[in-house]
Amino acid sequence: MKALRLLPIVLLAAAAADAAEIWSSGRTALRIGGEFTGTAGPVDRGYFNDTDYGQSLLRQARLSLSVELAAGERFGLLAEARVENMDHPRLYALYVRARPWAGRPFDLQAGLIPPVFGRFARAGYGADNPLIGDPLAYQYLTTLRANTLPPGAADLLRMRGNGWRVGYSGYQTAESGLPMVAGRRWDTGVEARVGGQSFQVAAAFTQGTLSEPRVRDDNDGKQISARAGWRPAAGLVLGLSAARGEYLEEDAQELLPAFARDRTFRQRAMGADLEYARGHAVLRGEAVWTAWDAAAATEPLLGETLTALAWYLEGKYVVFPGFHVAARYDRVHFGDVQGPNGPEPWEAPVWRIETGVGFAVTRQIRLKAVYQHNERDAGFVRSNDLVAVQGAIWF
Amino acid sequence: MVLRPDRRRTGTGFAFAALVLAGAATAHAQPGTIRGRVDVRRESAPPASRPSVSELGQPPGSEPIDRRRSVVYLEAAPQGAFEEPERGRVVLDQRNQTFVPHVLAITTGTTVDFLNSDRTYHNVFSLSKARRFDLGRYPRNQVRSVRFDRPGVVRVFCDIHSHMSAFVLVFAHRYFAVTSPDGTYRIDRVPAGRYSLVAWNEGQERETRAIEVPPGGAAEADFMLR
Repeated sequence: MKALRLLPIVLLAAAAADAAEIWSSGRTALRIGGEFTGTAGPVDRGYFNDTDYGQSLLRQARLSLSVELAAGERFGLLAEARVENMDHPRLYALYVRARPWAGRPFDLQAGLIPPVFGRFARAGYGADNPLIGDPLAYQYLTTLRANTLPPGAADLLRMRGNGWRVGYSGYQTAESGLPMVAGRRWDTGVEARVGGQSFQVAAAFTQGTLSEPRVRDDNDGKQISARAGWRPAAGLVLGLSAARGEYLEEDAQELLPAFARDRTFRQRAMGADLEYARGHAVLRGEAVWTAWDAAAATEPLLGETLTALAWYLEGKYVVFPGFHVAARYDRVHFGDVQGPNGPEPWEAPVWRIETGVGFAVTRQIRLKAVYQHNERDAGFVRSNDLVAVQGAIWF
Repeated sequence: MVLRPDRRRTGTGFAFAALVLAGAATAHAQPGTIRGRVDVRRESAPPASRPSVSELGQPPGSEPIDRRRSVVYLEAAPQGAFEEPERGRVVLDQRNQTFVPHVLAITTGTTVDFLNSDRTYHNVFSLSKARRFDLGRYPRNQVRSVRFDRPGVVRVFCDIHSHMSAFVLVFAHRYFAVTSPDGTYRIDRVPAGRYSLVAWNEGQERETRAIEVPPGGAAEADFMLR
């Protein structure tokens, strides 16, 4: 563990050396990259910034190391590992990449692969995020779980606003719920991309779902997801995404009433994203709609659909070299289910505004400071204001 | 001394003097030539692309960069050197996600036109002390210009494509040369006298030689940068 604490120093030295390619022989090259970010902020008592790893994005030290072993221009092995808050390292990506035909823009990737859905989850390095927090669609934890069932609608409604720790009646363990899209975990499977800079389509066939990526399949269901990206002009990128897969774990299926055990419980999602850049300004936006087939021990919740719609709009402006200002407005709405008192949203609507500034001390050392206001309609803490600072170094 | 490289990048610290005179230079003697060859034995670690882990496929390739191009310059310029301002314009192209040329040597007052020849946006910027700028994002066939008024080494990058980098060396005099692909160089019209001649490569390899330029003749100096 002490060695881990030295890693930032190692990274600092590596960054100073600007050394990304550490070995090459003929057409084979080994490249490494990395990033260390340290974020400090007050305790988020409303758990608005918790991830499905149980950590707040505003109080986190994260080290990521990525490796690419390229064999010529057509084959590669890529991996990325992360250590968060000195916890044990997690493998974030591990896959092979192949371009079967030289000169043709068709690529295949297999393994623990980057998601094709949406935009944000592929914005790999911290410098791509002008703020500190993640968009709610990719991070905010709902009260739905994949490994257990609520007894009924009343229990689900009782948990509203407590996605960070969901414990339905009758079950001992409380765990975090599912985000709409897991922005910091990738799924396992194969994907293909075809197209060039103007238009491209990517599709993936994976083990888990957007909200619950998996390495090993545990429900015999697969997900198919796809995105079409169009660049009608330089600086403008438009994307449409869709996904469908089975999210409920096998253990949870055994808790279903006998008549429902042969059903499939899917997550479906659609997304639209855009990025427009001109001069010193960048504008990004994304909307994600998703629906889960509700799994519950009793009807009428069993058989209903739990829907959620999230969207955000984000802007960044470089005021002078190395200094930017940014802001993001972010909302999530949830659809109704039939509760004891009539139709009600199954989760508490939530919204956030985050504004911040960033300063590049050098090209590879960046500082950020943000102010964040969060609100939702339920939970122990319904509103909070947070300030956080972050230092990042990459190479 | 007339050039002050960015210490953070070069790792070599140079002292700085605003006015530099080479005491041995003979102002009225017939000028001579300095020529020679720079042999770069150890190539600098290239700032290659970071691992493209979050890409959905192979990212577009970039042009190979000749990192053996060096710059040879007089550390102390002759008297009168600063009275010869050459305020020209040069183009630094962005082609196939590569700055072309990779090393540019200019005199103070020169304007560099950063042309974008790619189909994608580029965002040229520098955080170097000698010239800090950010040109924002601009499309193909458009040019953004920067005038360099202070001597020094300016490291140039693209904010969108992290593997793109270039060096702009800004001199307060005209006694410098960028080596040709075979490593040879030639600095003409140098007043006769004794000088310190410096060979620079990628901000890391650097060697200094004392030379004497004879009136109307040539001085030869070869360097080997390891």
